[in-house]
Amino acid sequence: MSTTLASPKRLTIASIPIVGMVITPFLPFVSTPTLWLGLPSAIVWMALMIVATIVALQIIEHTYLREGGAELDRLEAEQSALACAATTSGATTTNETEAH
Amino acid sequence: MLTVAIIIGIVGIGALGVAGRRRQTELSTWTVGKRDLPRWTSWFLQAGESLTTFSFLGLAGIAFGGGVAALFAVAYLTINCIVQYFVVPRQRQLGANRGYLTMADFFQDRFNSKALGKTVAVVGAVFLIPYLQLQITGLGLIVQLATGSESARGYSMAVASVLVVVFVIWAGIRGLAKVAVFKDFAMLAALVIVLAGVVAGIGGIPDIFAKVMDTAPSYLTISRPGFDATFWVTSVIVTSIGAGLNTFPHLWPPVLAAKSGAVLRDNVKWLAVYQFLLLIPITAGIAATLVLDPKTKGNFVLLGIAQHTLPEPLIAVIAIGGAAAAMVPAGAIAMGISSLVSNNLLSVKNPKLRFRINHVVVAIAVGLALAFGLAKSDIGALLLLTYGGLTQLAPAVAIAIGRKVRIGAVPVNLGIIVGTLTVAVITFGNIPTGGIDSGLIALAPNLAVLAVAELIRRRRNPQAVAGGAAGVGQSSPEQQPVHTAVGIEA
Repeated sequence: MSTTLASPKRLTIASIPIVGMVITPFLPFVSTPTLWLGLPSAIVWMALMIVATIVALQIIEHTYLREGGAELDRLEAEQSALACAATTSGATTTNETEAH
Repeated sequence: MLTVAIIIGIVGIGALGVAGRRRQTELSTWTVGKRDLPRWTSWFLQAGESLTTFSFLGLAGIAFGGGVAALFAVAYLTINCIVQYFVVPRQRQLGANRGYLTMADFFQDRFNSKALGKTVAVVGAVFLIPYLQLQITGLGLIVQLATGSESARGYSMAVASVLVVVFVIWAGIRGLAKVAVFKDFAMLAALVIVLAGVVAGIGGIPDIFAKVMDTAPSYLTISRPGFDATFWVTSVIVTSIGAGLNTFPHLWPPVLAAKSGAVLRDNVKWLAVYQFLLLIPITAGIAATLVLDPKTKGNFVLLGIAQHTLPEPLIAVIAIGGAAAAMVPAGAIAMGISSLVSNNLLSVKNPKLRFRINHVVVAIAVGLALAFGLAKSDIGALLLLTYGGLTQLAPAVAIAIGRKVRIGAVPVNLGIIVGTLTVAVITFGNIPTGGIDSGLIALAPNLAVLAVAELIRRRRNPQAVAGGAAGVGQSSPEQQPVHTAVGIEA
């Protein structure tokens, strides 16, 4: 359990599609001309890596929120709302002063 | 007729940026709004770098010469999403707590060094000028190729440049966001039309690749001259490092303006879907090998194949999509340059004067890029510096996003200078690198100088190191805004 976004577990999950994309030229089905479903295997592989990236990030986000990230997000939203309110009230005060 | 339609389209894009927006009167709201941009506004701003003139002109050209090796752009842009998922929420958090408006503010504050802030501002502003020129030149080229008119090229570049200056000065980041929404839909329409043209004019996708397999199978592997495995691995790694750690100054305002880190994470975890669109120009580029002259220049490939397969009105739609793809990044880059100069390079305390200077810098930056473009000056070599040079900021970004900054400003500054100079020497000296990206090579001396200088600093001043790197990055609590420390009014 970790509320650190970049925890070792989450970084490991993220590294899977990264490695998959970096090693693309060395994959046997890319280093020889190959068609899959009428498309070059490299294009199909890269499309799969895009999907893998989206899935990996969804898993990472899910674990982060479950392990305390949701609470941190809530606190951040509260802090932002307070900062916004302070800015608005400051602007109102300034305008009132200018009006006087 | 085609020229008129395209010019009307370009004027419409500019009008969209100004329409319904009050003129911005403060540098902070102009740059980052009220730091409350909701999810979808942030989405279209964050997506800005996925679809640019490079997607239109460059990618199809690379596929025309290098085949599926053009997928390297899909790879680095996708990896970029993964790295940014972890990095940009932290950058936004620091920006919100400490009042950053620019990337240079981040460096200045985290390393507690105005000198480092100025170095980053100079490096960022100088290296973004060629990138700005690329967008404006690309727009002119798209119009010229679509209309066949050399004069239309110049007119469209001038009209688009003026409109970019107007809508950027008038509405700042919110105007940019509005045009970015249009740009993404226009690009989507344009790319789908290109794909339809390829299918209608040349044949079904499986037929096209079957013919390529028979005639030139090397297009289906990453092995063509100049586009081999070394090119792939080094380009993907160096660009992923640079883009992932957000070393491009013009990409900071969307991050700093977002409502929360959760908004940024929510977007980044889906943004990779944009990369599916890039498969279209790559397919078109490979298909073009079957119908275009092999001597066709790379930049001419996508519109060449469009003209080969599509009627005139659809060419106009593609050209307007391409124009939008140039104008949005151009606006963002102009904002990036002007905010670095007015906020970090010049020491102007009067906020109104600073904001006016900022406007002047927007006009000067776009004007310079237009002048280079109209004169057809070859500053293309500088563009290599844009990527390689800005990636030299990556080690410093990685150090600065930590909880505590333990490395001194001077070692980081020296590393950036040495790394950038190395990229310049390799690029302008035409030093052969065996296909290895110069930015990646330059990271080695960058890190070596940083490490040696830090070692010397620690030996000279062990007490400061023990106490948190001479106060670096921790001179005041992270939660406490230090707007004045980075030269910003709230």
